[in-house]
Amino acid sequence: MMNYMKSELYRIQRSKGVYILIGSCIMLMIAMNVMLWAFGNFDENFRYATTKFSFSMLTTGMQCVFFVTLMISGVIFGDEFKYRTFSNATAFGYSKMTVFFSKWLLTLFVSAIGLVLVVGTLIGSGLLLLEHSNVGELESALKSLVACIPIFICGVTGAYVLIFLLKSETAAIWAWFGVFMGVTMPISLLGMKFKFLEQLSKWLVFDILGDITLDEVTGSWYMIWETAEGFTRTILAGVLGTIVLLVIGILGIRKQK
Amino acid sequence: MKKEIVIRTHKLTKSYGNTIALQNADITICKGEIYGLVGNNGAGKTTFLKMLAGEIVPTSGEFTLLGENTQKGYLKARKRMGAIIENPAFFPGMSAKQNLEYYRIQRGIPGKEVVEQTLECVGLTEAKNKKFKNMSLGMKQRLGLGLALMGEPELLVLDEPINGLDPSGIIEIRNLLLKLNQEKGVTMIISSHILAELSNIATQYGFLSKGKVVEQISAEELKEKSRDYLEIRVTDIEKYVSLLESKMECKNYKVMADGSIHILGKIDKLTEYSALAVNHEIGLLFFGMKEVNLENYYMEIIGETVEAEGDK
Repeated sequence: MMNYMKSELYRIQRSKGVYILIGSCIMLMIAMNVMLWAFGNFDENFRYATTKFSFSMLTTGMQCVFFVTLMISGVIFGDEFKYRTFSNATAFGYSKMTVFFSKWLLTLFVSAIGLVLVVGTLIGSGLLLLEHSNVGELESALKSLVACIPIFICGVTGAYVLIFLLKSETAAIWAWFGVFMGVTMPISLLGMKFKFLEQLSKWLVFDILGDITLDEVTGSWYMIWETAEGFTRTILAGVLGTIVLLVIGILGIRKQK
Repeated sequence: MKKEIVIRTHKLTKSYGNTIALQNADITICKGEIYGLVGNNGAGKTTFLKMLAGEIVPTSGEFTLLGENTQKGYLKARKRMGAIIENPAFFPGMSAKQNLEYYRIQRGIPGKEVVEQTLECVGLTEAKNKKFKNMSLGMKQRLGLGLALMGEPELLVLDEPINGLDPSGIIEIRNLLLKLNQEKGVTMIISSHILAELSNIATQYGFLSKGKVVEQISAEELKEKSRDYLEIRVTDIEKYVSLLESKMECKNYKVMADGSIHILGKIDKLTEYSALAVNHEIGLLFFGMKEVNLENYYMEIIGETVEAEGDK
């Protein structure tokens, strides 16, 4: 397994896709803060050239980060079914299970590096260019990230399970949307009518990422993981989702064998 | 002296729904042999090789690969094997050198110089920095061979290895494979449509037709069976054959699927056979001596099989 992972690392280092994806996200963070700074600089009444606003975009934009887990999984998988290079690994004595776990772990590793770089750029450029709000926005953003990391892992896991079971990256992309959005959205809507579905939807990862509530006392909006109960639930939902998907993946791959 | 068995299959079968791609294949390949797998398109050659390489799983039957006959064992055995199945598969955006380096790391082959040596071996040193997507078919095939040969495998599984190669490339690869077999005892199983080329290299043959192993024969046995025969084509086969048996008491003949008649054995008086047709007002379309080579033998085998199907 180590040799397989080393070879994949070699390939990923030479893959344009990973650099383009992470590079684009980094450029986006810089562009965002530069724009805020520019607007704040030219308009005294512009209230959003602050670290509070900039970092809150991360806190409230976790669904966008979730989509990126699909993109990075696809980029790192490298169209192996399309190019049939997957069959070479099999011919050289690697089982599908080994390939699955190797790629999964490597994607998590590269994603972690990407996340650090992108979030680091957001925070760094924000602190450099924007007015420091000093209302705990940095802690809030980092706490949000910590809470959502298991959900991101769940997103990557879902992508890989679907790629391996459907043997097609394209089909997996559609199925991924189906699993994480196509299933959760109807449950959320039906949850308005049926109590048990409402309870279920509170554990669905995509719903959690978009669960924003208005605090009627303070008048400010907060994400679900900004409460103690919500923080625990967010982490647990990610962990449980990952475990369920891994079990489905392992059983599915064994059945294929 | 008992030879070590490298591959042994027993009633190996692969079906896709109602379609049987390979049926009850019993094949044995010993160490040091170059086994030529011969058959038409759809005969089951690639299906057989894919099962050895682990790309597909048999529907039934079993096989032993380099002494291993369990799923875990096959994984171990495949590390000692090199394979090209169908078209070589590489990452299009990486160069020849990068692709081989990727697989060198993956296979745990020590020494970066192995990649340069492999590229030289298959004649790709000058094209080493060319991206795979920009390579010609012949270059891609050479790279595929390089991948199979890298790491000095004990067993090579090659599906149409000279596909797309120019004549000098075919000779180069043939010499390389012969060298590996003779100097290092590498066992090979090679499927090919180019029978003439296969006959230059193979020590054993397996003939497949419609998913079944029709015959297995050694190169020596084939050579013994290679003999001249008289091929005759006439306008009325039934009449001619009847006359052959009654007038000339000849029973050593075969009527082929393409309608030609092969007179086997020692032929003393050629003119008698032509006269037989002419004197009985049977049109003589073709009359000539031929030699059994691999191609003829293959057609004979397949022809027999077709006849047998027709007789049912």
